[in-house]
Amino acid sequence: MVWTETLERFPYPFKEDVYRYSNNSVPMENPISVEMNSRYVEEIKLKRQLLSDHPERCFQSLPHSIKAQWEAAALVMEQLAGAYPETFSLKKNGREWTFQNKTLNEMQSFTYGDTASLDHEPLDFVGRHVQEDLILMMQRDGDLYLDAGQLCFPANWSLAFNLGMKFRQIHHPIPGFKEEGLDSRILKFLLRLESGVPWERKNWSLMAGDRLDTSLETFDEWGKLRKTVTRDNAGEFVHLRIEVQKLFRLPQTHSILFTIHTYVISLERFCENPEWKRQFYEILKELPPHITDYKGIGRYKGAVLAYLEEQL
Amino acid sequence: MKKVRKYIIIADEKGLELLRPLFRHSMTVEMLSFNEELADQLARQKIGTYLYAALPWQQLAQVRKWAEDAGFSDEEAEYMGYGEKEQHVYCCRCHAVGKDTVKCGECGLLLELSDHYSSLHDAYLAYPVL
Ligand code: HEM
Ligand SMILES: [Zn+2]
Repeated sequence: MVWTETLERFPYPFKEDVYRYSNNSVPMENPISVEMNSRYVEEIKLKRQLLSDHPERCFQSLPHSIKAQWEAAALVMEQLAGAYPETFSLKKNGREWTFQNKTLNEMQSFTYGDTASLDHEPLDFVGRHVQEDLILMMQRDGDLYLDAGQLCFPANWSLAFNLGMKFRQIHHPIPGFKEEGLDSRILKFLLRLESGVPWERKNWSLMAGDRLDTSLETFDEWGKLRKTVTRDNAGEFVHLRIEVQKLFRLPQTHSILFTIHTYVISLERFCENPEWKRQFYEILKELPPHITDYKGIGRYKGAVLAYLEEQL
Repeated sequence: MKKVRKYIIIADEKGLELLRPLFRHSMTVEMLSFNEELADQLARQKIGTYLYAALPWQQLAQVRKWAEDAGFSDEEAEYMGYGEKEQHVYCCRCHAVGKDTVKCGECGLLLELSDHYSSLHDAYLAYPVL
């Protein structure tokens, strides 16, 4: 699942030599909620395996989310068919729709709006065709609620625990988020999100190892690896984990589709770009403890800095 | 015409004692009690109504859930609990909800309790001790 394409196409997340939490969302240049790359088949296979082995960990929904799930699924299928016509097609005859995935050689006919015509709930169905995790935030009473989601590759959080939560409650674990008023500002921004004007942002972290499924449910297994990072193995073993997150307003149900595409690249590979290496070194060196600790880098930050210094 | 804010109080005897210092004579107040109709009664309230609830922790969690379902935001409500606090702990590994804050009674994971709270589960999230 590790990045093997050219570095130019890697979603580099940094702007300045200093990193702080902020609302770093920008309007999307190429307005599409999901993207396919060369890892497609491999990641879909992993996703479906996780969904079948750990259904309650990977998919959650509240009953009132079905209509919004259909709207989200329709948006994703339409965009797939529009952006990748060699791979996907969507044929509509009134409410009778047929979705085709040529890469996987799959075809699904269903009645739009009738969940019984699918094997899974709509968001769970469409999520099995894309590399992204899909989160549905429903808007009511001036707030956003996490009312459905398909999440296979979380960065150490639990969808089952977060189900039904409001935006600011979801972000409660992030140090300084509330104190700096960031949570309220970002919520305000999201409540005003307009359909047809999607936004995106990038989030980043470091991890020991390269697994995509860093769920909170398995944190006791993969979290231990942090103790084994050294200056000598950091280049191969430590990975940058970038999430490209996209926000789409769904006009009919006035909800928001939040998609997360996770990219993982080894430090070694990342450092092939000298400017990236230099800038990341500056950022990491300066990163304040509250962010380092929240991201779980505290234990091996020294080893990574030593590795980077050696390379500079 | 000046709008008069309406206040709702949900409290038992002990709870009322706790709330008394907060009240002025001029307030328009309605008293409700903790019973089966409460969820509906809350749902019928007009926007802008302010809620005070003072009850034992257990009942308070239920009232808070009903109030949130009825659309009361954190800015429109104040919750005061008293008595023995039943702390529900959500195990991040197996999702069991228990009372032990150190070790999950279901899967045996050693836990580190956080203050991350879910009203749906009425429980605090516990992370593993690494
Ligand atoms: C609306 C959809 C969104 C959802 C469902 C969501 C969900 C989450 C979750 C579950 C976490 C992990 C919290 C934990 O530790 O338990 C998180 C972290 C975070 N979120 Fe969001 N988020 C959303 C939008 C945003 C937006 C628009 C921003 C804009 C700045 C943002 C900024 C952050 C930041 C800075 C972190 C900490 C990440 C880190 O340090 O690695 N989120 N979010
Ligand atoms: Zn457990």
